[in-house]
This record gives sequence, structure tokens and C-alpha cells, in this order.
Amino acid sequence: MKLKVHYDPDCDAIGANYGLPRGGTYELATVGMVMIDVPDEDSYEAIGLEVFAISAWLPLGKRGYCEETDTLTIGRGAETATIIAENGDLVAYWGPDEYDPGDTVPIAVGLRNASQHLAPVIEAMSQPLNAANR
Amino acid sequence: MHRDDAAALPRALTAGGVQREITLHVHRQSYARSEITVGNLIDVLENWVARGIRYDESGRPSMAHLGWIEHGGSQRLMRVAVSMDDQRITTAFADTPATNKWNSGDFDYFQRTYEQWEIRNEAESAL
Repeated sequence: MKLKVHYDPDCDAIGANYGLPRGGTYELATVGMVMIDVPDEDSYEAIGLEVFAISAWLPLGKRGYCEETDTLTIGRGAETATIIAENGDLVAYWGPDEYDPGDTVPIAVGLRNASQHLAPVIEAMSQPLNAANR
Repeated sequence: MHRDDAAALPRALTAGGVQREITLHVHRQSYARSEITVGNLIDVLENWVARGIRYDESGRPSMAHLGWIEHGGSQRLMRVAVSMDDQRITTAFADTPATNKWNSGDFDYFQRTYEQWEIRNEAESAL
């Protein structure tokens, strides 16, 4: 199962997915315009990831990156998650909805082997806009 | 994984008399999200029931249009986001939390999530 990553410099966005059938999409409750795809709406596992404003996290080390584990974590409060769903290189962190504690919402997402997955993105980011990834 | 209808997405489409570019990002997301079709994009942009401004982590705004589509055997609210200059479609997906919150009548969720949140009159009167 290989995670495919694409980057659109004009949108400052990446998409990543395993190419698996998808049943729903959730935006992180803690960061706008960061979405995870799940196989069905009762599942916590992420099978896809979409991040706008990716330049807020890249290059690696800017924020949310753990060099020791080579994991980029996007979102806030991963350490408080009540559910951690691992699926290959995607890790989804879920916690109670602060406005509706009976509901569980995604609060962060981790990308393992980040340096490998994001290397083409980081390289493209260093290219002039519109020349990258075309 | 390659779908014919995704491959058939044009570089731009016209909805409600406005021509907008379909970004490379949306083209690529369409391979994973089967609801991203020309028909659904036009339908949501023309028949949105609510819309509001959403910000990304860099503070960049986009206008999110929410409209009902048939997907996976049920009615879902689809979000179609366009750039604030109304020139480009930047993302689209069947929005699970929005669908659940709308169906449960939790409209505070939308007020918290979006700036300048507005519900179309027809949709409001149907609630």
C-alpha cells in the first residue's frame, strides 16, 4: 500500500492518498482546510490527507515535525487524543468535540516517513511558481 | 486508480454564468473523490444552500459553497471552495461533519466554522 502525494503550488496544497475506496471526509477541528478521508463514516482510520497552506509546515522543521520519528504532525492537541488510528504512514488523532463532547472529531493527523513522502514537494517548493510539478 | 469521469474534468467550467478554472489540485483529488464531477461542481455552485468564508492556516480565505448531492446512496452536503476572486475552484468533497450537523440542526457549528455564514432564503424556509 503506497501513499501517493501530489502538490499544487498555485493552491499551496498537497493531497495524499492510498487510492482506496473512500466513504467520508472530515476537516480537522483544530486547523482550517486540512481534511482527512476515511473509508467509511464510522471509521477513524485516515486513507487520505489534504492540506492547504502546506508552506506553513514546510520545509520540515518549521513546525510540527519530529526528526527522531520523521513524522510531521498537523493539527493541535494530538497528545490529548482519545483515539489514535494508525493506517500505514497516516495517523489520525481524534478527541471529544469541545462544543459537543458526545461527538468525536479529528484534531490532528500525522504523516510518518515525512521526509520521504514530502521530498518532491519540498523540492518543487524551491522552484519558481508555475514551473513546479507541471 | 483512474476514473474516466475524473479524467474528463475540463480545465474550467461555467456555473451560474461564471467561468472558473478547475485547479490542478482538484483534478488530482478527483481520482480519490468520486463525487468530484462536472455535474456536481456545477450543481453545488449554482444551487448552494449555504456558504461562508473559511481560512487556512496561513490566513488565506476561500469561499465555501455547500450544496446537496447524491453520493454513496445518500444525500450529502458537498463543499466546493473557490478562491475569493471567484476565479478558481480550489477543493471539493462530500463534507461529513457538515452533513451530520445540518441534519441534526446544529447550525451553531456553521457559525463557528465560517465567517459571513449565510443560508439561502429557500433553504432557510425549508428548515
